[in-house]
Amino acid sequence: MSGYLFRRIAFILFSLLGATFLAFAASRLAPGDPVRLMAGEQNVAPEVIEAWKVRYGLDQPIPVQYLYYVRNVLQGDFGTSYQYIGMPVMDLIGPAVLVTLRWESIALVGAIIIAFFLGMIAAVRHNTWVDTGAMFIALFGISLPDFVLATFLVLIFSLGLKWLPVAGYETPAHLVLPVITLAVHPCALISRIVRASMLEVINQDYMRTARAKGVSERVIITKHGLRNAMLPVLTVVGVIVGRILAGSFIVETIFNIPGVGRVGVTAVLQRDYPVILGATIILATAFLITTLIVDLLYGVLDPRVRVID
Amino acid sequence: MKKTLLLTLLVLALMTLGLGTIAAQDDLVVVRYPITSDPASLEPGLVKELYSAEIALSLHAGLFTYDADTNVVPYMVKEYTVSDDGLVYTFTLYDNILWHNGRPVVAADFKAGWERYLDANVGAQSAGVPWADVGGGPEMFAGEADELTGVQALDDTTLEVTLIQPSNTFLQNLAVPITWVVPEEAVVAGSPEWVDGPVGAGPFKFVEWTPNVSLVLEANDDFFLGRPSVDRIEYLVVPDANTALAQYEAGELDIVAVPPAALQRVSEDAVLSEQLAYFTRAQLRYAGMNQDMFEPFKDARVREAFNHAIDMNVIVTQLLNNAWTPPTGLVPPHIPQYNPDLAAFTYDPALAQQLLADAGYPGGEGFPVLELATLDTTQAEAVAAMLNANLGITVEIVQPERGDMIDGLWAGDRWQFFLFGWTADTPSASVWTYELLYCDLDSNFSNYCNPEVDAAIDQARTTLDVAESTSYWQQAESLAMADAAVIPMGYARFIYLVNPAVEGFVANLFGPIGFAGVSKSS
Repeated sequence: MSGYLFRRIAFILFSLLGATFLAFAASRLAPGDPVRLMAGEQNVAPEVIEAWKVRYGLDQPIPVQYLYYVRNVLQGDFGTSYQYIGMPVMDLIGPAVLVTLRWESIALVGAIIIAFFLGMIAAVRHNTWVDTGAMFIALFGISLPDFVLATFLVLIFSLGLKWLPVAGYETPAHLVLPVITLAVHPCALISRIVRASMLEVINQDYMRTARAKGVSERVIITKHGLRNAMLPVLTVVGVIVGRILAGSFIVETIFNIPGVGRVGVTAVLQRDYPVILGATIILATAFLITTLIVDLLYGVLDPRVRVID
Repeated sequence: MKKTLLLTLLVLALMTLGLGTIAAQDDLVVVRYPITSDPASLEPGLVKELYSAEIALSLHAGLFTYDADTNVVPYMVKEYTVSDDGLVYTFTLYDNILWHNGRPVVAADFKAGWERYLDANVGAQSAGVPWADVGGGPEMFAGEADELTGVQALDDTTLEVTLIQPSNTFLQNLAVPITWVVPEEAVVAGSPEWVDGPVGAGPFKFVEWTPNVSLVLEANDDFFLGRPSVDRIEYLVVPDANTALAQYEAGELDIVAVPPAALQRVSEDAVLSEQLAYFTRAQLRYAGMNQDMFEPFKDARVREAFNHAIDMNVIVTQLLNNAWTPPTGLVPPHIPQYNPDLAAFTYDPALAQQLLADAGYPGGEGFPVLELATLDTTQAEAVAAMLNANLGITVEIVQPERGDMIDGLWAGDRWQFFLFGWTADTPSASVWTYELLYCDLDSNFSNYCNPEVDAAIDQARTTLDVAESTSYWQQAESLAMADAAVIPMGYARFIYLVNPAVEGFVANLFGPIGFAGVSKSS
């Protein structure tokens, strides 16, 4: 087990190095000079441009810049933002990560719980109108892009009914619409998988045995059925975490949530290289760790896939 | 199942704990105002970028400032004299000005502050340009001197500045926040201002800054011109213009800049249209014809034909719902060198066709396919359609990402034909006539070169007499227009929606002038 864990962590570090390299290369190869972008449609003295390039090491060849960057990151120094003078990258991204973790975990937990509820009902009431209805809603949820859903929600609940605020991150009420927007898609996806795997499990011999023993239907479904239906769902959740992290870019921008997605978008548009790289490392780490946890959970749920050294 | 759902709700509710509730605002008068990004710094001298400058106007104060009509007016300066040779300026400051930390503002603060901005290690974006005419300024920026010798504090309220040569722009430089200073003791070497809380002398004091979220200022009770009426300003970071507009409509913001795409809907809305406020802006929108990249543009007849073939009035009034005003030349109105007698090109397809035929392309025959680079395809589609319909030439539109577009313009070797804007940082014709047209200048994205125009610009730049200099600027502009150097498309305007309860919100040519004169009724 410990050998497996060690290999996995080594793999994570290697992947992170790869991710920084790709992000670094992409940001430097994309046209757009951060200093010029700050000035926009105005003139900047050539002396200023030169002074700024030297200040941020942009006068060095790109491979040299990358080596310096990796060296600094290994020492825990992610650099300072180009856009916000003197601001350490982690001071900018750190609070944003906490914001993203908080609101997205609400969305994820909510999505999973509701998805199980919907999926199980649909499976138990297989081929009835309940099943069809629940799966229709799920299909709708899968097909609807985040930004369309977000726009409709704001139009109806904020501007129309005036029940909820349009955007911002101030009170719990501010989180309702973004959480719904982000949760709908994973919820729909998971509920379909829960239904499918429940249907598979529901007619297994051990289920029939339990019924024959006179165990109540509720216990059969939740204890025996659910646990066995969990594995495929777990796989999907791992993928969904990645998708949610990516989705945060759009949803956080629309609802103006100061999370790592919105910070990332702003940084990309401003060519704020250190912040782009910092955000990439954070998101990649989050994704890789989630994958690791999912793999470890497999073993907990199903003794057959436990790793033995 | 009900239990599960209740439990779910409980868990989800618990996870939101710790997220603030909107504090009861007592009876404070609060103005909520969106900014698209955090200010790059709260130290006025470090950056020229839009929001830093806008916030600096509330947080800081300087010797001079621009009023609502973009005139340079004394601010901390009670009175001043200029020697007959135009070299020695003597400023007398008000004696009751306090920094936000309670210490009185003294003349020596300006000498120390300017010397700091001239230290290349500090990285002020102004790069010494505002002090180029001040004794010791160029030497200090080059790192050859340690003192700004031309600036002396004669006593606590008297500041004497000696110039190397007379300058028309010196007082203008003192009116922009890049020359406004902060008290020496508030600057911690290597520490960004936002960590310790910036100290200024302006009408509002710093309360807190949460990067990515908001910047909060409160009224300065000790402001030397009297306490502002608004108690608190909340600058909220809202990167998406449409989100900001929706927030305004829901009453979550007091003021919002109207995104161009929403202008039609807003101006047709019975309620919102009443809340619209337009302010002239010192920004030219233009189409540039890059002569190095597209051979036919070297022929003035082709450039003239293009100018006559595009109907600016249709674009400005119908397509853009008057977000711009139609152009008259290069220099926008309200700039001192603006020439009211200059007339824009008339829309005249027949004349345009004639000119193009004279240039050797009758009916557009043989005219190479032209690539038009733009950030906003709305206007580009119209321009391409008009050129095609009136001149029979094919224009292909490319829409690069903003960084790519700007890179390509400065490099000068990417875009043949482009739609762009050029914004003033100082109210002078120099911004457009010199920066966009002077031979071999990097910002001359059209690679236009006309020795006659250059000669007039040289005269204008070196002549001290204001009236005489103005006539040279106007002469240069007229020559360039007659030569169809670029295609002026319009002058941009600042367009805001303002909560009817808010009064006194004003923008000058550069942008909103701050909240010192703003009031809000409940």
